[in-house]
Amino acid sequence: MTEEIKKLIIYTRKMKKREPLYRNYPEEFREEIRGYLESNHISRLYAHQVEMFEKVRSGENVVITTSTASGKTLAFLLPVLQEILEDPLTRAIFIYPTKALASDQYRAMQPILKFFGEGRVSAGVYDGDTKPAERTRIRKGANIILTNPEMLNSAFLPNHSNYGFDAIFANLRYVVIDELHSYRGAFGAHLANIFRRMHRICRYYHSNPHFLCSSATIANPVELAEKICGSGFTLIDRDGSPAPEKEYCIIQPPEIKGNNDKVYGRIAASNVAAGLIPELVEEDHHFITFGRSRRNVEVILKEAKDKLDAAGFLGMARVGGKNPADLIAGYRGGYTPLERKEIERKMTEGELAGLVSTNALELGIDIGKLDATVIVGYPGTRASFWQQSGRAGRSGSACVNYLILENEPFDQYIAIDPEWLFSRESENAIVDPDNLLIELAHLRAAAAEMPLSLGDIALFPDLGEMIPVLLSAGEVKSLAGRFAWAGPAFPAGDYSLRNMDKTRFKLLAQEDGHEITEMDESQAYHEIHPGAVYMHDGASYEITKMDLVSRTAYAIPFTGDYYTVPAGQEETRILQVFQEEAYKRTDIRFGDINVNEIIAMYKKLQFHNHQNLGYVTLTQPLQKDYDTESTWITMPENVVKVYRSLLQPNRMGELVLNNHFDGMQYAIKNAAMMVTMTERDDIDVTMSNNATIPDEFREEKVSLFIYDKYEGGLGYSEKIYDLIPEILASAVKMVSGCPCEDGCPACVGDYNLDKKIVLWGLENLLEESEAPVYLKKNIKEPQPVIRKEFSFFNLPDEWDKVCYAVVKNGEAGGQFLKTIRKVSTEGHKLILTMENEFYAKWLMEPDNLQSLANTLRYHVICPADMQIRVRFEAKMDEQEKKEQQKKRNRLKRRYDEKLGNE
Amino acid sequence: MNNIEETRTLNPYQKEAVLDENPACLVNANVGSGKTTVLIEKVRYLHEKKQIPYEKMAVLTFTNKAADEIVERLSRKEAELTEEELWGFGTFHSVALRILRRFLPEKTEEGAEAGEWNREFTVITPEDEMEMVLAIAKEGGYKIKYQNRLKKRMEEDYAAYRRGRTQGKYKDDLFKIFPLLDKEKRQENKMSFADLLKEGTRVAKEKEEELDLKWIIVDEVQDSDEKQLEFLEALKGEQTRFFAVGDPNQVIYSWRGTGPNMFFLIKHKFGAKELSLPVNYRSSEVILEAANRFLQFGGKIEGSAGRGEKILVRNHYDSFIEAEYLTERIRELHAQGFAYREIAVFYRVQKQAEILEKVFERAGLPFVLPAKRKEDEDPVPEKPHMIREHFAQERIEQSASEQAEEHEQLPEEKTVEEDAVQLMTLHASKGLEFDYVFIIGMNQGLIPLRCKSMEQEEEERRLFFVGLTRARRNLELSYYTNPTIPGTFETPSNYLRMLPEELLDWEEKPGSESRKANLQKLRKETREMIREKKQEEEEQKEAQKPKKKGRHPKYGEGEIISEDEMMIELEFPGYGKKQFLKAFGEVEVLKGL
Repeated sequence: MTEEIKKLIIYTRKMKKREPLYRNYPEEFREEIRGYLESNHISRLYAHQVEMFEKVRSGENVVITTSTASGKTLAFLLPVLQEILEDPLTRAIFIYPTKALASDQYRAMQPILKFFGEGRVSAGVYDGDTKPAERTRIRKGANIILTNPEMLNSAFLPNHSNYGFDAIFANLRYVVIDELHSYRGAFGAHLANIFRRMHRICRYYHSNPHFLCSSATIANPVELAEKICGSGFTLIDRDGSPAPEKEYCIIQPPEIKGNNDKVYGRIAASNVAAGLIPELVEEDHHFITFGRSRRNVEVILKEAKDKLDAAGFLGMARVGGKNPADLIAGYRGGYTPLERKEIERKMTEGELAGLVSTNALELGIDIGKLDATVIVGYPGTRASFWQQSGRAGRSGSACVNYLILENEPFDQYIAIDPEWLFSRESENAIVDPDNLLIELAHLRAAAAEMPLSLGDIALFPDLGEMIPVLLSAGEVKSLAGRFAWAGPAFPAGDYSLRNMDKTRFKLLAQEDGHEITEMDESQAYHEIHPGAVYMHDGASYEITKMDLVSRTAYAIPFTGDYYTVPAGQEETRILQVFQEEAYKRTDIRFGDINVNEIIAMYKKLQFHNHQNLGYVTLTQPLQKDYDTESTWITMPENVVKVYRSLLQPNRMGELVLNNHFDGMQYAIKNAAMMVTMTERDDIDVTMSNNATIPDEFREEKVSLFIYDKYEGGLGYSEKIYDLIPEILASAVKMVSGCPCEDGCPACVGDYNLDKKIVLWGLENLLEESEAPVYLKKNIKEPQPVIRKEFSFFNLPDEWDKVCYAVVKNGEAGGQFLKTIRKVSTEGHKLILTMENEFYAKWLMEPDNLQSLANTLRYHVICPADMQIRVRFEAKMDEQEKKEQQKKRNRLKRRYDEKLGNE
Repeated sequence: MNNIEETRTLNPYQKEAVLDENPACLVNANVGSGKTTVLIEKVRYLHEKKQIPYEKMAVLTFTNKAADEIVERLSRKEAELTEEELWGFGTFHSVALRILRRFLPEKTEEGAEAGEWNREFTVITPEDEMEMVLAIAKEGGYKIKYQNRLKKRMEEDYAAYRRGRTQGKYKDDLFKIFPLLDKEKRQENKMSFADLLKEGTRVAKEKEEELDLKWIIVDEVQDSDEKQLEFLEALKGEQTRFFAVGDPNQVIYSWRGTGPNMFFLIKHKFGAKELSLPVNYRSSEVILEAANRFLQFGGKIEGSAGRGEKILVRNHYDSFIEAEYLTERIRELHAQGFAYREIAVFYRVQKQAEILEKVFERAGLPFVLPAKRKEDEDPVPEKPHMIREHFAQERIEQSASEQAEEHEQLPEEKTVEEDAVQLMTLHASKGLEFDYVFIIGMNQGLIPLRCKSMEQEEEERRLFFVGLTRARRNLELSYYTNPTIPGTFETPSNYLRMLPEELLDWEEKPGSESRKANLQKLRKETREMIREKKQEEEEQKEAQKPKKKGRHPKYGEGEIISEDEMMIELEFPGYGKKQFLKAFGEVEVLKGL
């Protein structure tokens, strides 16, 4: 570890090694299972595996929350195997949240399947990619069926009476749900209703399956399991597997300061990650880096590869005959399944040292043994943080996890109060199986599977109200006291379980038309608009055009030194008010709104220094809007007045900083989620566009909108409308009762805001009071700082050093800068003399000059009005050349030593 | 089962047919017009009035069941009928078999060595024959392609071989095996069904004079194929009279070698006079009017059974929901007095029966299916030719039971006795009748199946016609919203549109414009329902709350309507509402209520 990185670590915590807790095989074990385990040199089991076996065998539904590498797959399989060996007709359905995970787990089961042989235990993956012949085989006789919720919804249940499926349901003993915690919010509500339908069908076929679930650490695994599966559960959380010592390091990226202590900004978390990765490679770690977005992943990957290349150039040893940059790879949605499988393989077999991934790898895909994780930016929840950092520690040797903080309120609060992250419980996973729209959607599907009877009210609590509605819509008809589906074919296809955009865009290579990737509409607008730079596993493409009709974009390979970030804005518009009433000092309205996201421009950011190369306006702005339901409340005038007065301008002069409406939104969203059982991604809160415009037209009141993040709405806002008094009361309670001293991510979101002011605003929705005195916060903790090493005026002397700094940082311009023969200054002018005419001309292109200026400003304290001039001069004489060579050699030695020693 | 009791007087058409003595006569009999009665009356007339001995008659039918029925009716009059007397009564195959048993040479050493059949031959099934082919192939090292489809290839290629073909399209050794098979069968004294008919024809031709038939009477003549026609010709001598009954509208086995023209071909061949039986005694007028729409030959069918109820047309979501519906509906019908055995469910393809079986069984509803065929790995006839295969087999099985006839009296099929709902394909329904008939799967692509030719389409229509005319009293047709049989469309069958609207009670499914589900709208309506319900509950709660009462010295006891810090309002019986200032303390609030 270099001093550079060490300096940035502001907090470390070590978790002690956990000793294994073994138990002997259960008495009941069949000989064959003992045989299998012994042949694999497993003479004892972890305590939790035995506990699982016993509880399942005694007929309990079990949810297990032991760690990632604790042998959960085996824990599931043992009781299932026992049952299959006892009764070969036994069927078990294993449900995974993604297709990738199902096939990964199928691979993991192979040794067991091989040991017992197809005749005794057979299994198969049944999903959208399964071929018809394989489907038939699985339906006919597979004991273990690995699938996903979508297949259950649209293939298994609607076809229960068809050949093969009836046998599955009649003999279904176990339903295994892996990664239970991923079924939260609307997705979870869908799965819960799928199981309600399944219960009906199992009852018909006289089966009564038990549920076996595994979940990552969440606060309420039993509650979640019970809500989703509709039966009582027992928890197994005592982990019998050993864990190595784990170290957690929080890294605060340094501020950039000049000699005069002036703060120039803060180095981006991704940049620090890109610096840390080569060190992990060099120290022979196996690691995974989590980025917060697809773009983030690619930027980190590209910059880390550049640095590894540079390190190679500067003398870093080639590992196993490989270019160091080839030792890392990206991993995210948008890579083809084939690409992903290849990456997984390379990682498992040690051909790769590390991955840079989105949270796609938060789920349990096996990528071999890891001893380090790098989390770039706090992932938003503690549950995610533990899940991501939990990926390391499989190897038994000590492991280390880094959290690199972004320059954002949540992250920066952790810098102030790291205990907040470590000492509190993981979040609750929230699910509401009785969401009216989702319940209704599945009730319709259920009616088509089997006529509904009034007894089904035990499963669908709103059946009594839904049936009359469906009757009058002609969707069900009476059938001897029951209700049979009379609507159009396949009601189970009328909704999507994951709120996924079905509009897909393709990205094709312009040259040969091969498909690079595909993505949904919203992603396409952000990532492959004309002019965008799209990165794919370290390769870059520039988008040349985007055809909205055929939903295709075209790209050419791109070698430029920047990436793009779209700039958009969101607007909300009221379409229709359905209900309104006054409540204390606010008016509550419920109605339809239109949420419109417009992407009108994008900025080009240079790699490594992340300086803006300028904004580009799209010739045709991209708009994605949808209608949804919202409940909105008006802000009392005194609150608006005080909050507006506290606004502060940003660098562009816009009054957007110190916005206490943000704090209010944050508190109300949290309260609304709690009261209405909603997940973070189900609803959103925003202020009307006039909130931050001073002296805005009086008649249009400032409002706070809470809306469903689903087209047409999912009923959350409607529920919220009825519960506003309760929501406001709990928002007040949550903010006033938060143990933090003066605002934290838990209560007001942004620790820079004044908690008293936020609380006062919330209280004033209910009752008028005098505004408290605003105290400008000043909670500057000592921060690690890097100083710019160079000064503009020393450039002529230190040019080579600057060049090496640039090269070492992995920046593309470094090699080029070294071709500059002479550097001089005249006032605030920097004069560069070149001996290659072509290079000189190239450099004189405005874009290139801008890019050079950015690079220099990043490393060098430069005058604000710095100008760069380029001159061309014929070759230098021999003497000069020798001088320069000497200088270079000297410098190179110095840097080599530095790199080698640390 | 029988519409016309023997005591009943024949109608003029029937009478004419019974009395006819032309050398050849063909009766074009509409469905349900009493053709079996005519046949039986004809036989009795010839025997009793014309003194023609039974052994001088051949009465040929297509099923054992029909032959049995005739024999049974004759036995009611004459208990002492012998097998010898009735040798000519039966299916084509069984009559051929009896001729062979009688005329083939005795079993001799020389005959056996020469490889000649003798009268002690055994009858083999197509499966047995296939086994022989495989054994020959194995022994001689012959190659056979597509062994899994051998049965079908045998049907086609063996027939082709007999017609003189020497090479099949698959270019294997199958055609080299056929002559060896022929030889082997003679050596082992075994005959297949086809051999029976072929040899029967040969022998009958030789022994025509010895047989000396006075009358040949044929039932369902439209179903005969070329081989059977040859057999008829062999039986028929110069003086033999020919009388046949048939319905060109019921030709549904054209793939067996008959065609819609067989009826007319026979007419031509024997120079037959054509008579007709136009009056239907079976079905209601409504059903006949519907059936008339599918009549291809001849004029309208005249009814005599009264108007009847409208034809029900129902839509069911899929085959499972339909099976659930049928369970309930049949129970209801049973409660109304329909015997289970008088209720039939017809379907186009065998696979449709699977789910009915499962659901009925689970519900404990009694039902019978035509005998199941174990060797069918895949009971899914999806293409017309496969259905043919299945049905061909069914027919042959009937022949197979003829073997049994030789040794013992054919046991009455158990199914006839049991009071159970009858499940069968449309093909199998031919010749049967029921009070209540369901025809399910009336979707385009299933009824009718997708057709490749006009001829096929016409036959599909005749098949539906046969199905329709099986019903005496009620007919219920249904189609699926979500059909699962491959090749079936979601749209209802065009046949439903061809039926006159006024005959139908059609509960049409919601039109296509409302196909796109409006979940949001339904949700809002549900929300409204829930609100209303809550409100009602609250009002009820309010109403049930014990009312607070107070007493005023002047007005007496009254209900307290409202109350705040200052005022109290009461309603007194006879005085109405009154407000009082609390401070005056006039109102005493009554406790304990």
